[in-house]
Amino acid sequence: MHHSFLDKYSELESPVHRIHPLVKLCGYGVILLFTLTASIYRPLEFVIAGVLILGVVSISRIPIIYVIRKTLLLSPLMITLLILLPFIRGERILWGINFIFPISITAEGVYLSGTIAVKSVLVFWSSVLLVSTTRFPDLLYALRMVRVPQTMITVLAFMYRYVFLLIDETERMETAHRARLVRRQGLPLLMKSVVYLVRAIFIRSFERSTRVYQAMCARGFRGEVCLLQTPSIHTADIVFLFVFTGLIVVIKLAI
Amino acid sequence: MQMTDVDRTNTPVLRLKDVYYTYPDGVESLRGVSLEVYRDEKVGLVGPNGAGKSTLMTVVIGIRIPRTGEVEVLGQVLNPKTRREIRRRAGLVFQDPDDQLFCPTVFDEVAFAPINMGYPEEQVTEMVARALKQVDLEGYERRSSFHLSIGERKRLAFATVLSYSPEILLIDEPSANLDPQHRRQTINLLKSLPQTMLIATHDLDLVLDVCERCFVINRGRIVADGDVESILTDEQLLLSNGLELPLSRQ
Ligand SMILES: Nc1ncnc2c1ncn2[C@@H]1O[C@H](COP(=O)(O)OP(=O)(O)O)[C@@H](O)[C@H]1O
Ligand SMILES: [Mg+2]
Repeated sequence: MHHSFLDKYSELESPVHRIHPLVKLCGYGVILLFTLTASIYRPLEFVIAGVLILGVVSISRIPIIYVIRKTLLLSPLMITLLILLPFIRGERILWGINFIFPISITAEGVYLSGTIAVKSVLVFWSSVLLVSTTRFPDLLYALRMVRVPQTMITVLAFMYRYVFLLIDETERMETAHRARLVRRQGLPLLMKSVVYLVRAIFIRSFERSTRVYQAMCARGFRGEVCLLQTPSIHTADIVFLFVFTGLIVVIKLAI
Repeated sequence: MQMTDVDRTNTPVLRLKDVYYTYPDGVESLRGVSLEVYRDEKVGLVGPNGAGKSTLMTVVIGIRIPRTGEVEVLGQVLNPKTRREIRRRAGLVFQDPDDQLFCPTVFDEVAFAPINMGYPEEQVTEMVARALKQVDLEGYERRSSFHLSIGERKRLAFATVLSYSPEILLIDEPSANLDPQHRRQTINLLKSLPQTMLIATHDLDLVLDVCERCFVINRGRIVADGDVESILTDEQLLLSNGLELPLSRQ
């Protein structure tokens, strides 16, 4: 079980990793607010947000290429947006034809799709940054401190555990499946074997999660994930949060 | 082999009386199991795959409820009221560490039971440190438990149970999937721990090394009970129950 699904770099040593998780969560909130209130009519705001995020990424020693590559995960969504949105109704028509009914690309549509695309990328980058510089339990702890309901935290904690489990079972089954794969099978046969594979993965994951649950009960589990480790907030963390927030506010006002 | 003084005149710390267990799909995996384990004993439970060893282990701490029969642990009859207390005093180490490990870090993993059992914070930290030391994993606290080697995960699985110092240890296949060196480490660990133990395995050499007494289980029934020397040298008995003479006795 060697996975790097979410938190490949969360164990690195860097000034960013050392910031208190709660402070990081707040900083994340500030960046989100800044990005979401930015406007395509003032593109400098986006540039600043992007530079800021990637700057922090480089301080945290996470390879920028890793963050960029992860962004590809967004591409299906992006492509859909970029293709569809320009066609929404608007005042300023940039290009149009009459094909059965009139089709036109509007300036508003282009701006909107651009805004959504840029904002999603920036939000995505900051999220990757947050989970890559914070250990998952610390993140849970921070979420608890900002009063995220216990149930939600329990669900997240389990997701973190079971995602690994699922990937694991899938990998194992896939290997076994590939080992038995007859070369050049017809499509119907292939479909059938994929259905079997998915079913087997489901059953095995279910059986394993039953065993994990039993093991938890054996150790006194009563339905609530208890966390103990409580990293303490240092003055430096608080100073950082103020300086960072101040900086963002100044930038926002200046533009 | 060390022989501790076992007092078999006292009441046993673990007693099963005529236990039957049937899985929901109809497989009857325990058919009238009766056995007794006394304080300070290290007892082997040997049998081929599918004999019912794992089922028996889970029945003892009430993860599975027998259809009929009685389980008594440390003088308490197992029922929904006593289950929590019994689980605190009898710990089960699962066969596959991946079933047992689910927390993000080694620390959380070992602290899980003590926290859930309501120990105060300073004590939990202490318990974790002690358990990790017992299994030679000091300094691993902040590591992620999914990224350890199989040998380390096996020892971590032990630590998660040792943390709350149960009086009885139920250990399922301690040497499964281990290379010779890690197997040796595990055997040494088993020998060094003071707890009363019931060890389910088909590694008969391990049983010879660690235990004084053993049960042979096959098809859900206990078919033999005696000291390891006489049972594990009885070729006829072993062969007829899907086992072989230990390598060291061949
Ligand atoms: N979850 C389950 N559902 C149905 N049958 C099971 C389950 N687990 C085990 N069994 C069956 O119960 C019997 C005993 O299994 P088990 O206790 O795991 O044996 P052992 O640990 O000695 O290898 C076997 O026949 C096995 O197929
Ligand atoms: Mg078993």
